Amino acid sequence: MNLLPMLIVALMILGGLFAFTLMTERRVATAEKRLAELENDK
Amino acid sequence: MTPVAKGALFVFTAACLSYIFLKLPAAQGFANPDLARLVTMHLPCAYVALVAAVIAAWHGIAYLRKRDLASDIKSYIGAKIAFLYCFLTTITGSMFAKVQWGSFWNWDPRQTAVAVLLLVYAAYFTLRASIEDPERRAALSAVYVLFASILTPMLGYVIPTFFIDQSLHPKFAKFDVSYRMAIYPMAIALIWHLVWMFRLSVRAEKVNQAIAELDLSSEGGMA
Repeated sequence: MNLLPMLIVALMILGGLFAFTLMTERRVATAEKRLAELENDK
Repeated sequence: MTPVAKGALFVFTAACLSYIFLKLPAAQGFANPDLARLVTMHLPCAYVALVAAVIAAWHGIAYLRKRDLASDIKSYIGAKIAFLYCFLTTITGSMFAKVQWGSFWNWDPRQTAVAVLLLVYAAYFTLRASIEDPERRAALSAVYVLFASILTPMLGYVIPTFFIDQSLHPKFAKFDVSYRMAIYPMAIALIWHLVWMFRLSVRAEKVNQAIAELDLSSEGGMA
């Protein structure tokens, strides 16, 4: 079966979506920590 | 989203993919029956683009009614996700076109209509970037996003299906049960992911705005 190209496409799309969302989650957590620090400093 | 919900989404998506690659029969009647399975990614992306457009319009209307900037942020995030999924629909559609019709781009009415839709969303982001006053930006964006959201099903489905006769796309695609069993669960997985991404992006936008305001006020204080 010639499924490899489709497997690559599907994994790139879904993997990309998951990776992007997990990275955003980490970024948001860092930004929330920074916001709390800024509010404490104020 | 809780770690359990994230894990469940991951397992559900993996199960959908496993079904597509291990169980789903090749699509008979296509130029390349194996690769025609790409339709199980292409169609769910189009459904999610529509859902995101509805979310953007819903929050756009909410902003126009209540003038709450939180609704403007939600509408903006909805439009961003609609743009992302329109783009993914175009990419997967182009790959399907290469497999089925021999070329990545055929100037098919539906392909062209979705390209126009991408430009409509690009204009929305340009509009937002060009206005500094938050209230004015939110009001104009809310009106424009309503227009873009109405255009999403019109350009993606209604006009190419009912108003244009010659198209490479089938007018009313009919899938057998095995394909529906792949397309709808994949659409559910992507919509589940959309909810996660939407909430997270709204949180990110709010935190970034709060940090920018604090930075501005501290700069003002120092000056």
